[in-house]
Amino acid sequence: MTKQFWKPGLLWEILSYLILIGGAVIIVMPFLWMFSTSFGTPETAFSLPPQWFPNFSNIRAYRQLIQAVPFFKYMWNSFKVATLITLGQLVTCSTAAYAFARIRFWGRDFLFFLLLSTMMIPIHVTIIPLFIIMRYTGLCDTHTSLILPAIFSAFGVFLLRQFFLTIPLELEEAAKIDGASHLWIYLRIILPLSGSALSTLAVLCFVYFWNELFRPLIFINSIEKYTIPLGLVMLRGQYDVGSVPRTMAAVTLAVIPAVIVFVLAQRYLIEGVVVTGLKE
Amino acid sequence: MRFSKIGLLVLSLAVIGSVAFGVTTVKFVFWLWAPEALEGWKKTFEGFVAENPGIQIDYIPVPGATWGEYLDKVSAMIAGGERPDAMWVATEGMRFLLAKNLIRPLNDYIERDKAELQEFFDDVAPALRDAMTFDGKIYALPYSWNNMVIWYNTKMFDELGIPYPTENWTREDFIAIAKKLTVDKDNDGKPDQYGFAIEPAYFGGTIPWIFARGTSLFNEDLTKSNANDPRVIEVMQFLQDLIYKEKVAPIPGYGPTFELFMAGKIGMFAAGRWPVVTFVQAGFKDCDIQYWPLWDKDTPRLTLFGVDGIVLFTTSQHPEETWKLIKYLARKDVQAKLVGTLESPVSNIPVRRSLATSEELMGALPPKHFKIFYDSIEKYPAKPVPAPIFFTQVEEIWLRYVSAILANEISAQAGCLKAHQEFTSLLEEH
Amino acid sequence: MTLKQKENIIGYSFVLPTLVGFFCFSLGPMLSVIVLSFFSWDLWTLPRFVGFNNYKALLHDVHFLNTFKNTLIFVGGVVTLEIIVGLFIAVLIEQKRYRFLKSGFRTVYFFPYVISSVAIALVWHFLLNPDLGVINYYLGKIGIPRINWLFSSHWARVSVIVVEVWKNIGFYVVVFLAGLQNIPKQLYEAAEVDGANRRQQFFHITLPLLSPTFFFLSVIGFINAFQIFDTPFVLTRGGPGGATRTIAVYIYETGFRFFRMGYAATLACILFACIALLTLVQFIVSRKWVFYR
Repeated sequence: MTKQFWKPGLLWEILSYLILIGGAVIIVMPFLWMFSTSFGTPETAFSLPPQWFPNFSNIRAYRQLIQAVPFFKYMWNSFKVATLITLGQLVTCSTAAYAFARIRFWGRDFLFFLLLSTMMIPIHVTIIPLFIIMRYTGLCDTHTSLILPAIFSAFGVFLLRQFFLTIPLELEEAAKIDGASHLWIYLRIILPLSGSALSTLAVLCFVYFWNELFRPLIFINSIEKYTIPLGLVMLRGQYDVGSVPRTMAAVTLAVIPAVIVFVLAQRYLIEGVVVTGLKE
Repeated sequence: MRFSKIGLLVLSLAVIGSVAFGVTTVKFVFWLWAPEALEGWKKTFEGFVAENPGIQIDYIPVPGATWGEYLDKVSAMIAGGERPDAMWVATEGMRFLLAKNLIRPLNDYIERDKAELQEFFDDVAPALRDAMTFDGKIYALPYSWNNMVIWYNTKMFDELGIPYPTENWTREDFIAIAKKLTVDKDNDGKPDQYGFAIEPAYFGGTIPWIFARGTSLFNEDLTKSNANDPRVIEVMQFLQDLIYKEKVAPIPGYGPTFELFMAGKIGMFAAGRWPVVTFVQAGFKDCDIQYWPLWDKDTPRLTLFGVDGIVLFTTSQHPEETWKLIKYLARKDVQAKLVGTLESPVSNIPVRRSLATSEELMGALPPKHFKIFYDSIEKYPAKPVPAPIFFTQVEEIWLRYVSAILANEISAQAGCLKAHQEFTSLLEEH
Repeated sequence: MTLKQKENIIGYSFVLPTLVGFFCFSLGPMLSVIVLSFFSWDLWTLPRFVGFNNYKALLHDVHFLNTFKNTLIFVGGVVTLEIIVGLFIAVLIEQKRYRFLKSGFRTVYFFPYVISSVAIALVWHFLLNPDLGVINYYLGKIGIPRINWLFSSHWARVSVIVVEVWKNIGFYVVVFLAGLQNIPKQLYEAAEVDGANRRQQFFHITLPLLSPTFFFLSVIGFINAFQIFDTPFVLTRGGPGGATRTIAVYIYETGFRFFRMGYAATLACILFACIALLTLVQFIVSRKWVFYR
């Protein structure tokens, strides 16, 4: 049987590559523009066609940015807040997930269901009472106001519980016969085996809170306490003042840590997304 | 053991020391309208602390795109429990603070220090001082102010052979000039430079035109909306026509106005003195200012201005020290820094006549006709920005309709009438 | 103490931190928001009980009706596009023969998902500038007239949808890819033997077996789309003329710019009710069309 050259299959192959590559270009293009504009000048920022290749010798925008705004402080703040929240979540979620997965206590399933339903409650709903709580405890304008409410996560509990359920029961049963307590099982069996799930939660959590705008926008007032997203929003300034290259320099600096995390932890991020998606 | 004992000793000495030597801390909140402004403020505080040992300043800069945004953030801070001693605030915010009983009149302090302050009040235009007065009581010493003028790019004018605008130019002159400035160089149907850029992002973009027409958005005591006045509608129609009929203005959102002005893409735009900062930093000198055009030969000029001052909070634990800071900021040598220099330009106009008209200080920076700034408030009647108590909401409503009108999504008439409706229900609520 | 009682105590001590957090920061606030919605409070004076007035005011509030409309437009547009385009891209990627190509494309498409919405919206703000932005420049080159992206009500909404979908598409692609990879190849081979062509295979094997994935993505998608805040806040500040103001943005403005806490609480209750209702409906309807193996 002779095969014709232009099989429908071949046409489809070419077309699908074109579409995928086109889509990839659409994804990458804004970042490229951002990067090259940060090395430009206010006059060239809007020149058309755009200068796609960055002029690495011109770092005026970066210098201006660092002089004008404590951007590295913002990065430190974001890092501090995201890290503390992540560590907190790892502790609270893993202990709760272990209990929900392996301890039979009264009201367990009802409680779990209730907890899960809180995943539907948006932050925009609870923010008003949260603000009032923070105000009357004097915690407004502190990083604590951001960290404390966030070290609990229904999503984290859910994710880890799903994973813990897959750990073979025989391991625990063997330990129980030897008289091990739940605490021992949790610390010596479950946790060591959960490296990937914990890493996944850690990475997802870190990225989320690194990028969070809403709560810092409402709780943080002092410039030295700003996190990166808040700093970026404030940088926008008056419509005309606040030059484009300087803003793009800020965005570039803000994006770099995320890029690093992405490159290093891509596997965990994608795994995390997949695992939550494939819950049966 | 030894360490902790020593530590305790040191700590208690420090506590006793600070109490004995009376180090009080004054908390001062101010608007950081651009990051560059921080340096200037820091130097001012250092100067004050040097002269007043025993007083420390805990300064809190608050960024924001407009006075309104700044006021929002401060309200949020105060709502969150923050209690500053003093705050730099503009007229727009003072009514709000007053209504919440957060600020106190300064009359008794001024009476007491009358001798010291006499030269200050002599050096300040009455209109500026009166704007700080409510119900006969004065709530702040004016600190700096701004008005709205038209900036024009002298290079573009020279290139096209257009004579510079004169003091009494009218709306018609304005349109004619804008038309000449709007040029389509490469004949692609799109102008490559425009005559004038309308600013919809804050009040100052539209109110001066309304003033020029001889009316205002509200009535005299700011209790009733006047947005349905046919003259207001006429003004908004005029602005809409500038974009769509005369085609001398780009649709708002064209881009950062200052940068486009410097790049020769916009011939004229409206602002106060604040573009000076951007122009000096970029080394741009081809600009000058002119009074706002008259609507026509019969309607007299009315200058729009906004003035700010330092208010004293009722909750302040250290009113005496705070009052010292307020007086310090009114001193001539401190105010002289408000003029700015080529190395550190500043955005506002000093309230003191002697400084604002000084050739030596103001003349070192653009624009050439800086005298127009202060003259506008002494040669002509002037009115502050119409700012009812809930200025934030008013601003939000007005700007929303302005942007809809300028985007040609609603007619000028419908926009103004709807704004009037919203103003009215807002006023009724309070 | 019996074994059961001991189990209970241990169980609760493990769960205690999360439980405390849950009561203090989830359940407690949720209940107080409901209570607060019956009051009027500006944070300076004492709260005033107003019964159902806030809810009645909602019906007459032009801003709210507009905002609600905008939110529905965003929810509908964003979720639909995310699912359709996400599936399309995932299918295209899955068909590639080489693993490095598959994971390469997957990585590229996933990248914007980890970047802050603020950063993304800031960049797109300039790209979408109608006169000076790159997008209109290239569109102009292929003959499309100037689109007033961020400054006309209609196109501003489109801009928000475009930016949101652009940012999140990677998430959908990755989940769909995982779902596609989970379908056993034998099913396709068996179908081919039975004479089914590509299209039939897609509609009778792929789609049904992807239904749990669809379900998951639509539940998550709708919940997230109702909460859209960062993009309109940074891209267009809720404008022009309130055209891109979502409920989340409106709650922020009402509560933290105008300090009308009671009314903001009312809006928050409405938001939650919408999300809860929609999720419930999806769960109920899922029995009809979601196919578990």
